[in-house]
Amino acid sequence: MLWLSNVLNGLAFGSLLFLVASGLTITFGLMRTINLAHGGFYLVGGYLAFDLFTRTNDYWLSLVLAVVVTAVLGMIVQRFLLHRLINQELPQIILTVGVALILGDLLLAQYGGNPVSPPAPAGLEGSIQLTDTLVFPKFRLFLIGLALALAAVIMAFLRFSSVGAKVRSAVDDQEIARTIGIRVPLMFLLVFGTGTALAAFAGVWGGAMTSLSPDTGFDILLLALVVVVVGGLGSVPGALIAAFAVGLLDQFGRVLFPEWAMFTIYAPVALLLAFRPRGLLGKVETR
Amino acid sequence: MSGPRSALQVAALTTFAVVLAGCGDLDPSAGGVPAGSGETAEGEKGTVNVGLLNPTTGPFTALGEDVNAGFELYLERNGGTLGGYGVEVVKEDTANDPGGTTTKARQLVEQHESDIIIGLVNSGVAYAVAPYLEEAGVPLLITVAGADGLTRETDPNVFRLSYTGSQDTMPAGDYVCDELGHRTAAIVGLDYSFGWEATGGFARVYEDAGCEVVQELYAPLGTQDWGPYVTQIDPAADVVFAVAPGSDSVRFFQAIDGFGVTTPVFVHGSTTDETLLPSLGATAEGVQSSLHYAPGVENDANDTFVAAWTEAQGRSTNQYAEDGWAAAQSLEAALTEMEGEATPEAIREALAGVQIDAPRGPVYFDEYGQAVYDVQFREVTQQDGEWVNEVIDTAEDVSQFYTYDPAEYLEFPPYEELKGTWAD
Amino acid sequence: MHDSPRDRRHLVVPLLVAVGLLVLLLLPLIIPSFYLFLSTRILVFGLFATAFNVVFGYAGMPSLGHAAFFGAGAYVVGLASTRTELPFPVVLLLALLVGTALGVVFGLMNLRVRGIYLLLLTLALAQAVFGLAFTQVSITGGDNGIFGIAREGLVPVGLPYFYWFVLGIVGVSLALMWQFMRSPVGMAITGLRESESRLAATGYRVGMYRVWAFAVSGAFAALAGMLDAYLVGSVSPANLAFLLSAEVVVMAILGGARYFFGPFLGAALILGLEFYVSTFTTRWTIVLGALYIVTALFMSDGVLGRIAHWRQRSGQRAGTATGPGPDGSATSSGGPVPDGVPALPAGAALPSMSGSGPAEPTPSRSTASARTTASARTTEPRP
Repeated sequence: MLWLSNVLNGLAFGSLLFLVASGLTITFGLMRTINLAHGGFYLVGGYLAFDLFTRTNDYWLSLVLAVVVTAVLGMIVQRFLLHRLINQELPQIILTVGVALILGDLLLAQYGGNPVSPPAPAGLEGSIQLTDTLVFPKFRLFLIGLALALAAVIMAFLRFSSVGAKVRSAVDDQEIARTIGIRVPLMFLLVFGTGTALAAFAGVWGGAMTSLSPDTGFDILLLALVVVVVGGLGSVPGALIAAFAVGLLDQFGRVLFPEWAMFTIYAPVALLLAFRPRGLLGKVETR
Repeated sequence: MSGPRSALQVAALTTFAVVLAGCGDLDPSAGGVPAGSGETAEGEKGTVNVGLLNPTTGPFTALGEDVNAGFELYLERNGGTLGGYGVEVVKEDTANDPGGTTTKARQLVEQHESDIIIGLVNSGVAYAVAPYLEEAGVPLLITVAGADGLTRETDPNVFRLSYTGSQDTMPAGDYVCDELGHRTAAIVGLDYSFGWEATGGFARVYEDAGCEVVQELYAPLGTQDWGPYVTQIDPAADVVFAVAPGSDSVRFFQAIDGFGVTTPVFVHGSTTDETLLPSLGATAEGVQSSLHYAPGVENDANDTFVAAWTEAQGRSTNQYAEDGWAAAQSLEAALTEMEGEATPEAIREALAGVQIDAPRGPVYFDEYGQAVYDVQFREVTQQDGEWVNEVIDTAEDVSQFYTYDPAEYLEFPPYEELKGTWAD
Repeated sequence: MHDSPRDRRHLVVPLLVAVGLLVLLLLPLIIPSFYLFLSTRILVFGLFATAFNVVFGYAGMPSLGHAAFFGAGAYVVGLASTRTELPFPVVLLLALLVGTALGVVFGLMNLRVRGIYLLLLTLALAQAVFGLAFTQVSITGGDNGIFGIAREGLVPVGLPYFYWFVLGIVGVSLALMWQFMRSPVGMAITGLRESESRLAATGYRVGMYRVWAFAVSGAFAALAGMLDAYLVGSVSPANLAFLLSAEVVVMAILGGARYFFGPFLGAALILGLEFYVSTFTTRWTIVLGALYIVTALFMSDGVLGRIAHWRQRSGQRAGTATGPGPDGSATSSGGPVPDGVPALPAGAALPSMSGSGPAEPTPSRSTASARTTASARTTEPRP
């Protein structure tokens, strides 16, 4: 039964990665913006939920407020900083690394360096006896369902609304987009806000699973980046598949070849990028 | 256009920048981050300059800040003087970077004329700085960094109040085997030198006591998901001995709890330290540990310390705060013995003979500069709604060699080579 | 009138340079010794940033994985000096060899990717190397790394000697790179950035030059890493970390990636700033983050680009042509021509600054417009 436990756990960790990667891949897919401050917003969301929960003791209020506040913060960063760098990927990367450094240090100043655990909803504590020998944490099981549900919601939204097409046209050619009545800055603002909201959402859930400290933003970011790349930049279903694959690879890598733990993730990703840059489900495009 | 011209100008400009960086701090107002009390107090015997060199950014910030706060609290309570000397404190940030810290150490010694450097959390940083301080003849009093090898020379320039990697876990080997009666142990450790030394110290004593290590698992530092490791723990083992400080601790206990591991857990005290207990909560209930400090230690020095710290910080004391506090106490004891100018050399000599009653209990330095102290056995329990480490037993007078003969102990292969051999 | 200032400059400039070199040589005697360590580190990181710029500023490939080379060089020293008795020249050769080999791997892997994919691929490669150092603990010491690296036998004891030693190696390395960039291969590498397709059309084997750029860059970056390990006395995965890769990019851009010495200047500025600010405030990381943001927003042509731009404008105002060329079509679209340095023609904003590399044979409409946006942004005079 150990293998089943490993499979489930790999899927659970993959689900966490998908939660983080979803915002990243949307921001990239729609805006062509690689947001390396995503890990920073992840932390901000988690810390805010932690802070609000200790004050109010109301889980859902803490979750919603943390997500909303982080989204607003993200929109401020987009409007006043990132907006000037549309389509300039390298400056975007540098700028967002700078934002991430600042966010991490502000959290350190405010909350100190000890790890904190954001709250989990009531009812998910403890574990569940799946078989005679297999005990599995309820929270992790729920996380798998949450990731699947989130993926479904995002895909449905992108498919049945015209936001995706509008934003894409705005990125490709702002002038034309404007002439056909698309409010380009507003589009960018909303997409980026959604991305950071998802980062905060992931921070609350992921933080409850792994705990947070101000210096862990880049760790989770890099793993999420792997998921986004493997799935194909901008592809939500791709990210879901990739997240599960990376979760399982990581799980079995740690069990079977502990001395190669990180290498078993990044080396295949590098190979994939070298020979199939668009990832599993990315669009044909070799910019 | 003349080719190399602007290139050469640029070279000149860069030279200028390098020199500028060099001269940047000639402005005398450019001091370090000022210490809490501000003005340096007058002492009847003179003044002593102390450089506090701890991380205030990066992953070890919480530890470094508590050491600083403990030191400053003691100093403040003494009106800014220690042993008749006014104390001027300059704080610098190690930022957990060995290279940057070396610059800071040099600045403390050469610009601020620090007579002693106190601090250091990361062993790599300590190893980078120690040779320079030795060369400069300025004593180093380590308050956290745990690598065994830092205190292995006689007539030392380096003193350490905190533990060596194996010092606090060796008594646990006897305790877990004999007192608790757990005959077989599975070891779960973080895969870096502190993890190897702490688990290795336990394993050596535990096996010498006649018990058996049946399994060893090592996870990389910063393991996000401990599920893969805790699910491998051999259910036949009587006890899990774990070393996973910092945020790894939170994730470790979450996994232990979530995957229904029911084997009793015994850990190095840094894995359940008071800085972590609020995050650990019920996941660490009943976990036992060994460490050189527990807030519940009963003596006058600890009562004073706990009262002062709780008033100043509004939270529980912990080993790092105690290390900082005890550092100030040790310095005071050294300075009390001294007359005349407080030179680094004089402080170094006086420090070697220091004996104090610290909050943790009696402390003195062995001939290698490593503190000898009591080790507390503790258990996580809930008292008045707060999670605390309750003292359940004490091993007295524990040195870095425990009960082994130092000469014999120093001949043992290093723990990094023994890792993976305990379970055989 | 037109010639006399230039004649004077011909005398003044070498003099300045001579003075500069003399200052660098005598630095250990001039500055307080606690800054000598910092100055040595600036030299090391200056070498690192200059090596990085071979791939970045010259070849136009935005690598986000250069910490891998730096760290590899450092680990060579760590392993060689704690586990073997190899003499220094052998260690030096080993570091160069490992850096070159790693560079070839990077170059080969990156043959087919451009722009953002190149950023991500180099990042993934560097993380794979980081992962090896982090998890192969029995060899690398894991997170702790390797400490106790001595430089005994290298130079006489004492930091001034080591400073001169570093100064010598860095000086020679910079000269070699300078020469390399003016060699036919170096010129072809610069051509990569200008127009890879044109280069290919003229019969150059483009892929080979991409690999060349990475190999040379990797070798010198590893050399810098080697020096840093000797200087600091320890190596840890931090020498391989993502943030170091990002920092060297910022160094190059901040100083001016279009200039040979720009990255060196950037390294000096960032290290100096980090040190200086952290003396005053524990919140220096925020200042560093702000510097990244400012660099991304306003300094895309770097300090040197700014200076050149400013000098040119003041020259225009004074009515004398101090700039390299008549200010006309070329400069108005492209900003100043960086004279001297294996020059990039006017109008070539760092192609790597916009994600769309110059690589694709038929730029799509969107990428073409992107490039215009980018170059307009880098060069438009700000009020």
